Amino acid sequence: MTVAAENRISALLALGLDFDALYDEHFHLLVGIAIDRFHIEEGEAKTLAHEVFLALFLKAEKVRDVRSWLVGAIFNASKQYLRRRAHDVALPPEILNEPDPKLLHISDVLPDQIAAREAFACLSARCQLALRLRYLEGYSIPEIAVELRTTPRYAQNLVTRCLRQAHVRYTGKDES
Amino acid sequence: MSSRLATREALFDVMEQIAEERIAARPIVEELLSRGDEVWDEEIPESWRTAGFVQELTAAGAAIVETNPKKSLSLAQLALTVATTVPPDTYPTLVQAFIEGNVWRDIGFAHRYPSAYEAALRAYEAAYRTFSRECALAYEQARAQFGRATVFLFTRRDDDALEILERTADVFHEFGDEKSVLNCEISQATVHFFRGNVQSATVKYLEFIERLKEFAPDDLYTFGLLYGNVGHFLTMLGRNGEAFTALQRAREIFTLLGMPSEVDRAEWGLAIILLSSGDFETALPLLRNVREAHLKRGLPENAGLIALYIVDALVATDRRTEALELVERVLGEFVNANLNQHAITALGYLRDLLPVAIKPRETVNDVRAYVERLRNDRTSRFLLPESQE
Repeated sequence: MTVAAENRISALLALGLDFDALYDEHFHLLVGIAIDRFHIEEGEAKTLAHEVFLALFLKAEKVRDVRSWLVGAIFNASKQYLRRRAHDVALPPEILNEPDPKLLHISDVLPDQIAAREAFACLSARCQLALRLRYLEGYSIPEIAVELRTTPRYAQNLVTRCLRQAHVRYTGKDES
Repeated sequence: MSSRLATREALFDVMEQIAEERIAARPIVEELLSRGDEVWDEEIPESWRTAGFVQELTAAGAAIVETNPKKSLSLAQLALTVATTVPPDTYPTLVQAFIEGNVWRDIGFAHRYPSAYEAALRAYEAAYRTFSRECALAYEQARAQFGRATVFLFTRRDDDALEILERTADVFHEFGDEKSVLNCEISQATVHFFRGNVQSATVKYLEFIERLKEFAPDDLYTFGLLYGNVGHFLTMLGRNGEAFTALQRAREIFTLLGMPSEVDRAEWGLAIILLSSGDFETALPLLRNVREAHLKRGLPENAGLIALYIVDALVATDRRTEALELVERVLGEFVNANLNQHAITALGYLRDLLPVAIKPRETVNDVRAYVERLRNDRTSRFLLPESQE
């Protein structure tokens, strides 16, 4: 084992989480449920079980009954997975050689997406929040005012100022 | 579903990476807690843009929601901003959905403190939408839905609340989370209370206390919540002795848990009992302390409501001038905090009527009941009682 690998394992243990034992004890049970009860293919069932472990790891609160929680999680995850799969439609064979329609305008869209992401990243935290609320979440100006506990007039000025900041900082960055 | 989680090694790599990030984030987040608002005017450093950092920041915000809901909200919003800047594809998609959904849920929770229910609802909906992107986040979806139900509860969308509570209770049961199932039942009983079935809500709550003693005797928070609420219900039923005991238990528990907002809520309830039994001199200092605490926490709406109980006590003890001064002060606080216009109008009426009212305590109680009602129904209009018109 490398030194780096040792450090990484100790980081997990330093948070008081012994996932090795938990994993060994429950992994096969969870995969078995996904396969036997929901007829999910083995590879997918394993990935689903790993996602359930990851969801447990990310939880902030303690779980009283870990086994029940994991079983409930794989049941629900399997149900949702099958529901989503039911919407999938098999593609006709002749379409296999066609390009993905989502990629048709990729040369137009991708630079815009990258530019928007870069412009966003060079903003102050306040502006990032204001613009996210306005343009990603679709908040109205009065709603932004409530969210930021301020007046609608201030919220409107903030959004305008932030758009200007995005323009100035992104263009400046571009020029440099 | 993420193909990046196909193997055990891949799973443990992700968990270990986030564990490392959390350890690295702790001193920075600790320092952030003592900083002022200037952090909002800076660019987010690249080293912060990790899931571990967002988790630590979210946890730090959640830990202070009781003592400083305003700062807690600000930290949650900062966590949302940081989460947005995490470079795409750094983690399996579930991680990004989890950290963003979790932050939205905390934003929703923090908004409930100053009764900003529309903002809370919007945040809980964003949380639910975000968690719903991932099959393995069904439990978190249910928790976000529970948050929505609590907002519906307070805004009197009873049927919406009951429908969600029934469904989420089933999900929590599937996860073996009986504590959350009980929380759903408590909320359902609270709907009955809001609908005026105080007696049946009280019976239910007393049953819940017995059930909790059996399956989670160490769950002090839920005991505190049950004793606190049943104390208020018993007060309404005129069972003041039992109400006083229940509220004292709630106060003891929340003091032990270090939850000052809940301690204040219990003391507020105790003061109301003292007022109703005519013990104004004991009630007054209690109410003044609770009002001060709400002002310090940046909750002027609650502080104003408590002030109206103080006004009642002052009027009852022939201190009408002092009462009038307090009404003026509250009016100023409401205007400064840009609070509900209807509440400001009602307080204006009280200021004008108090010096001349024949039955001043009735006037005070009418306005107080109206301001209290406004917390659940922001559009309710104030009508002058017939005797004052």
